[in-house]
Amino acid sequence: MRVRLSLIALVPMALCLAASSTPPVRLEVLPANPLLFGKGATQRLSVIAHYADGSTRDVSGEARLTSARPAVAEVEAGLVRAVGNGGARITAAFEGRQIETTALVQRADEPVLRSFAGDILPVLTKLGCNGGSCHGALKGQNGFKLSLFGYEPDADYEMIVNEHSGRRINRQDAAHSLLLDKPTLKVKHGGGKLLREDSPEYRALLDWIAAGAARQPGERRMTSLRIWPEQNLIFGKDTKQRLLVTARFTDGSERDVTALVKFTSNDDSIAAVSPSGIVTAVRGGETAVVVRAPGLTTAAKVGVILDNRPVPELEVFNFVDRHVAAKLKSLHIAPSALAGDTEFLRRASLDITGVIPSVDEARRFLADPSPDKRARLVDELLTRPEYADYWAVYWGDHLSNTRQLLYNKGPYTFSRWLYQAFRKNLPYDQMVRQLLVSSGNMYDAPATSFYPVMRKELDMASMTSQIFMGVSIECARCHNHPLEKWTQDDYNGMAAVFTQVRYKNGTGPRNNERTLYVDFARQFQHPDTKKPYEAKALGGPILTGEGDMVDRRELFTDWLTAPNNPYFARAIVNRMWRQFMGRGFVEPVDDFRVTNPPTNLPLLDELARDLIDHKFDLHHLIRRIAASRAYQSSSAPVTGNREDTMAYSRYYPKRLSAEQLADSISLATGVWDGYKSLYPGTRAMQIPDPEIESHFLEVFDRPSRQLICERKNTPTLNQALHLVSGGALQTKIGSPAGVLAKALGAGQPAAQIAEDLYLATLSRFPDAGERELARVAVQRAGGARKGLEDLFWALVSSKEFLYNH
Amino acid sequence: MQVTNRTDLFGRRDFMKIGSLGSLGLSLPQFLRAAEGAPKPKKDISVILVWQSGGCGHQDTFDMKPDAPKEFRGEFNPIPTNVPGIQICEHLPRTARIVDKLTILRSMHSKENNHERAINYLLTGYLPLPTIEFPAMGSVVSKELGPKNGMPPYVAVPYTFPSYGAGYLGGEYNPFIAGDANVTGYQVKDLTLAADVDWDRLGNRRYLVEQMDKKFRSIEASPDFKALDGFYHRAYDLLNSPAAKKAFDISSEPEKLRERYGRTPVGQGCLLARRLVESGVRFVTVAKGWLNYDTHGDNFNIMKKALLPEFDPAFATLVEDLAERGMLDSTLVIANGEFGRTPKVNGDAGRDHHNKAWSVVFAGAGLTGGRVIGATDKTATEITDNPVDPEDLLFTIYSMMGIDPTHEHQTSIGRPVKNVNGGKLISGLLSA
Repeated sequence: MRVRLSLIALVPMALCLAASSTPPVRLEVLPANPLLFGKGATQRLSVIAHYADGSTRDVSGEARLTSARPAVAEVEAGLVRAVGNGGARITAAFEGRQIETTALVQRADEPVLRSFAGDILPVLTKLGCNGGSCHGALKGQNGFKLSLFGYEPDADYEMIVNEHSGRRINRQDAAHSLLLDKPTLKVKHGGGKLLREDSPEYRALLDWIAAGAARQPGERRMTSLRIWPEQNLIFGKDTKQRLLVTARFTDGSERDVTALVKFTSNDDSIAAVSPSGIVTAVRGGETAVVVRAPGLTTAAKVGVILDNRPVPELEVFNFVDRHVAAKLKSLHIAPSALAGDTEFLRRASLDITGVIPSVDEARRFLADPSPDKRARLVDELLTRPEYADYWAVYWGDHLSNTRQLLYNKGPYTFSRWLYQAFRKNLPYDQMVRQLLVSSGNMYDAPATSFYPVMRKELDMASMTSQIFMGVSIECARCHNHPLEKWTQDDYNGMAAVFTQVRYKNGTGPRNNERTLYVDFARQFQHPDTKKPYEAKALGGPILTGEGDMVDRRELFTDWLTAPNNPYFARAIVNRMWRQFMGRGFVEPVDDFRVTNPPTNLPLLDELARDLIDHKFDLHHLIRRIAASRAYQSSSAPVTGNREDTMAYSRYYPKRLSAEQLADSISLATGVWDGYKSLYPGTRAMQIPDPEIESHFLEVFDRPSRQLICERKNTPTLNQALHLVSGGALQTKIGSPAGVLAKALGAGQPAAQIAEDLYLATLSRFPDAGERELARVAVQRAGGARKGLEDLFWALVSSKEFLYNH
Repeated sequence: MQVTNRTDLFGRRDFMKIGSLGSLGLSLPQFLRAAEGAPKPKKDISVILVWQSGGCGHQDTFDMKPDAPKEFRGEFNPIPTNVPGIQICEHLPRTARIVDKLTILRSMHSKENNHERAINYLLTGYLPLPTIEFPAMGSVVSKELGPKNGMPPYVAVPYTFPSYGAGYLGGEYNPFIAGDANVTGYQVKDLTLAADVDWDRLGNRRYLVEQMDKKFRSIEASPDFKALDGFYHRAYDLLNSPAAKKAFDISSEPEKLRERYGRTPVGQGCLLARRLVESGVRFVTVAKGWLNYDTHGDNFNIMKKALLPEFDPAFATLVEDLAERGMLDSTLVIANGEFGRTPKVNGDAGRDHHNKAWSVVFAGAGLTGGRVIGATDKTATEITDNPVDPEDLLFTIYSMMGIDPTHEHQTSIGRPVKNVNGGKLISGLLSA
């Protein structure tokens, strides 16, 4: 693919547009060197044509396939069929181009026996019978329970063949088996009609039942899947491309299992996929197609390019841009222009300190002629106390900092602890270590708040992996993870890390003061099954130490924060990238898995490496991101990137969070809120506990912090109503102590005040049209005060204000 | 074998289902259709949930045990009601006069004994998980049925509390917050124009902001912008809607009726709930506050002096008022909390958390009144008949509203989640 990319720039425009009418420069046949096991085994071949402009097209339907040795492998309608042992050269020809590959046939003396796990269970997975909302649910469905997506063939065989006195299978009259009657809707089936009698899936089930519904001991099952091609670029809307899937089996054989697997697209607004694996291009961008077979999943990336013309390249400010530029180039997505100073100022202020700039800051920054003023601004923002407030809120959200879980005083001490950590830029690995291995009195050692009341080791296992590793293992609490390798044993191994955490309650009036201590002897037993588990890091080693004073959390933390840990740095980089860029490499941010590939893996990896090399200095990471051209792109789309939501071709707007909005409105109007039981002048970003009442913050979706999830910040009716009806807003705008009243009182002319209102809200000067609009506002209202209030209100209600863009 | 398979068309399980559904008055064909989704009610059913946050002692209200030893039965005495054979607490005299309209379910139970988790369970139909936020009933109703008459479908009176939210369904389905209807000069927040701002002025402001948004270069940059415009439109409409204004205008109620409900947050909250349902709101929660019923100490004084004198006239008047207006058949009124309280009185004259049995009271929506279903043992400790779990409760409420309890939504990670985590119709509730 690299080669193709470098060609693009060299090819003249006329040739690009004429791509499909000129012959290809080369062909590719997939799978390369196919393996066929057993007499009659077939493998479909795909033929891909590569054109001079770098584009490709699936020409399988038009290419001619021939076999040099039909006695070994014959070719018909795109399929290679095994006839005899040996190798056969297969030639694909299309529009004057040819390519050869060799099909290797083995064990051709007899057909490969069908197996339950290898051939029958996949049919049930493909039909969706064992999905999470059907019989794969924890309790099954109407008495018929299958393992989720078929990860437990033994139990599934029992359930299908023997459970309920074998009522689902009729060996004497296979066609009248309940297993077939239900999905064909011959008898009532809550899941509806899923199977047609003329389908190959029906045939496979029928034949298997008729042959005795048998299962051989040690029968073969799939061990891995491979998708061909693994990386796809599809050119043009509605263009189709076939995906092929081969599986390797326990007996060493391989086979075309395209018809046996289930295909799903991670984003079918970009590329849709049919049950048989045909991908259709919908809109420009990149996503992944996930393939599922019992106990196995894998994914192929699919990029869609609607317009094949070359696009301007992103300028490179630092290494971040090299990777973003490569992605944009490969997907033919144009970058937006460089954001202006006013946009950068407002954006960096909100993203780093959680509040917009003041009028003075805006004036100063806009007037500063020095070329390095953006970098200096970032440096300066990082030294402000607001930076620490802002990130303490972010981590308070994720670390359950609420009195509901930490008693009344907990949020105050914990939020102070988080503030201090960011104020002194505690390296991230050290911050996490202090949280994970914390012990002592919850108020003297606030880091113990990481272990909230009522969260047991099973909760801590999923929270820790989710927050610090970016891995969601919650699924594995009840069943093996359907889309990842995590099993219930993995989950329980993680839980065992936290079993030594114990609490003592205080006495008398201090009975809410917990003290966390480590019970070294304590081992983990699953609360339901009573089975004991050894502590094991998720995807890591068993955690055992010498002697009888081993705190397993320390062993886990050593593993987690080690420079070679594959999760830790990537997880924090992904989180920070999302906070700045509006979309994580992996979304949701805590759902890293093979089937959810990152939008830009090389960039994620280089940022992670960079962070490790700089000793987990978050300031360094922020500087790196903020200095990139990608971060400094305008949010205004250009032709060629309007549809982009994943390649970082422009800055994706983000609604200001509840606290950002509250503090920004307060700053702009000069009227600060009062919060019950907090000092006057406390900013929204300094509220330690979400239980402290605020109608405004509720309306704008301040989270309760009882769950770990990212803020949604989507618009709602309540928000619109709050802004439109304007009670609270009007009070601030019209306050005698506010900036507007003061300016009017000082006798400033309306035009001057209007300019300040633009600077106070949007951090920029009004243009001529906007100065005119301000004049109209005053005229319509019949007075300066009312008119400027209206203008102020409109500015604060405008999208340019409500969004960080 | 073949025979067995064939008869599965009406297997044992299906007959049981028909048995319970037959009581809804459905014919067999109707049931078969209904089995595809939920039974479709003849008219819209709205719900008013009078929420007893903290957990109300069942043995001190609707499941009294006068023959139990003193340390269990507590200080209150039962009184007769307008239904022979049913007795309730002496501190519920008004309610005692409308028991002919109530179904008292004495066999509610749950798996959670901690307030936050239990409230979450009772309001969502799911045991709480740290990683997925399940939506409360009102949010599910909003998502499934949408707004009616331009009114917000889900309103929280007075406030929203933890577990009232829309969870993974998204903020759009969060409750509309009504505020405390008992304050003097009550006006709903955000539904009244600020003093000093009239419609002309709002028109000017709307003009200005629309001019600004038109000019904003990044206006195409986010799909949220369109959604926000939609909400702005709805907000202007709602502000301009006489019906909405009227719905929240509790001061237009006759003094006498307001007194009958009680001049308390719950009393006026119930009255407001009736007005809201009248105007098209589908789901209203009315609560006194957060964990008010959590009487670990001094249970009897708090109950008889504060909680029950507020609840009794509010709840009884609500049911009477709905009946007088012909609205009771289309409104389901429920009084419930997250659990009951321990049968044995503790050393502080209080009762602690008890999730093994408590009582839920239903009225309206065509339910036959004057009944008790389910039962507990001599000390109100264990259920002896017809145990009902939170999943069943939500399954039943959704079914009565015409919402398919098994309908699935996708979370952000693509996990399919049903409206209720299982559940079945509450046995006997819907029968005549």
